Amino acid sequence: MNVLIVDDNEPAADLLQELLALQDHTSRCAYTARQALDASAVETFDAALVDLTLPDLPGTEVARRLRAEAGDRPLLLVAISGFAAADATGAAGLFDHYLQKPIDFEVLDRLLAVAVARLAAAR
Amino acid sequence: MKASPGARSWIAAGVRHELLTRALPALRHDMAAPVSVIRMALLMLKRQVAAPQIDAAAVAQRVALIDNQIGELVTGVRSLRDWELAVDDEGITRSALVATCTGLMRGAFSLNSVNIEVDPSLDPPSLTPAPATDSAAMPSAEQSWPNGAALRYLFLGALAHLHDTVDDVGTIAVSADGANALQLTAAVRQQEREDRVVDAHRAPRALAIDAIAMQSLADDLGYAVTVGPDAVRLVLAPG
Repeated sequence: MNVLIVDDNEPAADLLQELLALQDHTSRCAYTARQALDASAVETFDAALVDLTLPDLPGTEVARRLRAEAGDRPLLLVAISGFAAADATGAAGLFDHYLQKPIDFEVLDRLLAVAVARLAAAR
Repeated sequence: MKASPGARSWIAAGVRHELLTRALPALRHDMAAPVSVIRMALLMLKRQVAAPQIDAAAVAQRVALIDNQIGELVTGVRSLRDWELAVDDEGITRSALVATCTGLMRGAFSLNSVNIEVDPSLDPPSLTPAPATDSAAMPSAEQSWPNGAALRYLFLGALAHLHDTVDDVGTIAVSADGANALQLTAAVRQQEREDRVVDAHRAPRALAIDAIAMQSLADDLGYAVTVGPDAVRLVLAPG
């Protein structure tokens, strides 16, 4: 599975990339919304982990654009934030899942595993 | 019937509690971020030290990252004291007050498509460029105002008041008003498009910071505020 990691906390994004590699996922880090949108224009991602508070655009706007760009193609969108879901009402309905920092890696692994299975079935 | 001083103080305490409740997600966010990095770095570190050959430089780099993140976490924990109405308050400069409070609420507001715009004159002063003859740069002096905790509550109150009471608010602008005051002004949203979706998900505020709540808070803390329909003026000196 190819994963786009969008987080302005660079150490967090880089470490998540390392952890995803251990699970045999490929990934790309974007530290701004602009970098994320640029990456999605040239590369196809099966999943995107999007921090909600980015310096240049809200993570919700990134999610909207990634979803629109994906069209009918399956794209797992996961919000990642230090805010609780109840505090991020603007994110409701845009994401498939919402993970609060510190991330529970077992939950993330399960989400990605389910997405991998669905992707394989769709192909 | 006029409220007794005791009742007024209880109202103000309730307002402070509501404001702190709203700031908590951002305070928690600021501490969750380093914890998240520390957890991931430790996971990787465990793998590194369990490897047949240990890359000492890589391990040292990982440890340095963890050390740095613990420092950020400690700063976050210490900053919780900023919300105690303590007698030995160190005070706060106007620019630091604006930076702290807008920083706390910017993320939560942006999730609801409300922008906070701060006049550049209120940016925290950086080191002044040193004249050619000087060997060291000196930080530019800025007046520190007493009762930093009280001012934090007042500023958050002003932000929350405009957020809660101005219909279709899109931007809250913060500007300096003379040398000792701040002006916060709300402007309605310019565009409608996808914001309708956001509005549909905006959580209702059961406890809005209305004009009475704002005035009660200021009176109890001993500050003068001017609360208008779409603006609040805060004077930073008590009295």
